[in-house]
Amino acid sequence: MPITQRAWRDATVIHVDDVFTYRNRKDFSSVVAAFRASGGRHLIVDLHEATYMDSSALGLLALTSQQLSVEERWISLVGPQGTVKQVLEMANIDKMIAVFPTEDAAAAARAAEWNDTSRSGCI
Amino acid sequence: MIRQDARGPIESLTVPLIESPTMLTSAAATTSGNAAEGDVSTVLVVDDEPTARLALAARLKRLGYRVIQVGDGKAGLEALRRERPSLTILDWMMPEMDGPSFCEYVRQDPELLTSQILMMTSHDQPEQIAEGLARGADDFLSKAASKHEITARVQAGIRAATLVKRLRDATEEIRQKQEALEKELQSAARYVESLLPPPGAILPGVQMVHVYRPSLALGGDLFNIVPWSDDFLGLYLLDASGHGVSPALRSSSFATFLRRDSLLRHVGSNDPGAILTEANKQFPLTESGHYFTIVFASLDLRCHSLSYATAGHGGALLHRRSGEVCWMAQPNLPLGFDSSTTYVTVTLPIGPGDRLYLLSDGLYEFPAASGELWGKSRLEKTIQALGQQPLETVITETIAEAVRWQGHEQFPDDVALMGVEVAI
Repeated sequence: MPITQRAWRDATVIHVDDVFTYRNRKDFSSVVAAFRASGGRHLIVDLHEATYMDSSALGLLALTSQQLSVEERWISLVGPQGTVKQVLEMANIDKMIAVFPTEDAAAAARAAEWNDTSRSGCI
Repeated sequence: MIRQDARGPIESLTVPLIESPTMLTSAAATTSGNAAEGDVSTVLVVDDEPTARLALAARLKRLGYRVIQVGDGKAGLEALRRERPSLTILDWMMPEMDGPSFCEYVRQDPELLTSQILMMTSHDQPEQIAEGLARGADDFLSKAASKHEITARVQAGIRAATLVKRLRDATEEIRQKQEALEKELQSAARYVESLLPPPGAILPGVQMVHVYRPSLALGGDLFNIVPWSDDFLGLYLLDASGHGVSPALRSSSFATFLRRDSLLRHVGSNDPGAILTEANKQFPLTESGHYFTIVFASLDLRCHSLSYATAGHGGALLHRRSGEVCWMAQPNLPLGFDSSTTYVTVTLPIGPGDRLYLLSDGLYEFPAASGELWGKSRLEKTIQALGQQPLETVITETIAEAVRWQGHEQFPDDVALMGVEVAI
């Protein structure tokens, strides 16, 4: 299964193995829908094992980011390699979605952000 | 009705159901709908033994079937081809062509291969049954079978024939619909291609050549020119995510927005950055996450300058007469990703002999058989190596080199390449 999910700390982690294209976008969307229904705050998309991503998948990441942003939730990308990294860089996706080397780094950054916003009373 | 032809006596007869009430019900169910439509199933009986053939034919007629009788395999094939019966009941042992040979012939004939064949013989050992089935029979019936078993086997064969016919009819209907759909797609593709600019002189001293190769009948790539004035020209190449009808329709809609009158009305400027900033608001992500990337450039012959802006689009390069290559990508998002994005115009000087290439990512993001992508670097080297050969040659040879790399003609994504040469 190229798209799987697991709960990790306070986040939901989606693992994308092999390719991420229009062929498995429905699987990805289903996991995102379950995450949104769960009330979770942080969605991590782990791309360490992803070998290829097409424009359809890129658009899905952007759409998910827009949806979660409105709902004051976070999405993080983790560990893109090779071609996937190039596709994300060409689209400058880091201007929209934070990219981290590891799940730990993503969780730490979001925890710090959460603490900052909590202290400032924004959330 | 009895009729005679050169192949011997053929009896063709329709008889109403007159056997037991049980059989009447069963037979009516087998030919369900047929009786009401006046379409009685036909059974072909092929047996060289007249007594057995006549007895079986009589039974079938009593069940309400139209029966055709022939006395050998060769005549059976002729009758099968001519009459197309719902079921053929076939004797195993016959002169010239026996039952299994008949079956093999039928299964190799594209017009006959779906025929339902019930093999009837006194050879009812398991090995013989297996051989008969293996050589093309659909079912087996012992000559010693009871009349009820015969009735049930015939009904099962007719049922299978009905299903096969339905499947064949449905397949034909799908084929016709597919053909109609392909015609529609070809018509739509011709419309999309009619939106492309004709190659040649687009301004005095400015030549344009292009290639457009959608991966399906319809593509999501589109490019065109926007004539601002006699010495000032807009050029764009956009790429809608996805393949097929939906991106083609979205691209056509976007192309309408990018027409001169529309831009003057909606943007009030010919500045590429301002145009993309407004387009970003007009074309948000679709509900399924589809979007556009685009490069928009303005060529000003008065000032010898090229102004451009890009939105997530890496396919634009300037090949100077000196040989220098300058990629025109900017680090910004595709359209629709973030409505607050402001796209900035960059201006470069341009001189005689300089060439501008706008292209879709389908021209560098495709793999060789090994999986390795061709990439921007190989594309750049190809264009550089072709140097100042005629623009049309550069365009043609670049595509040819890309085809050589991937090892076949069909690109996995839409491919568009527009080359523009400034001569003055």
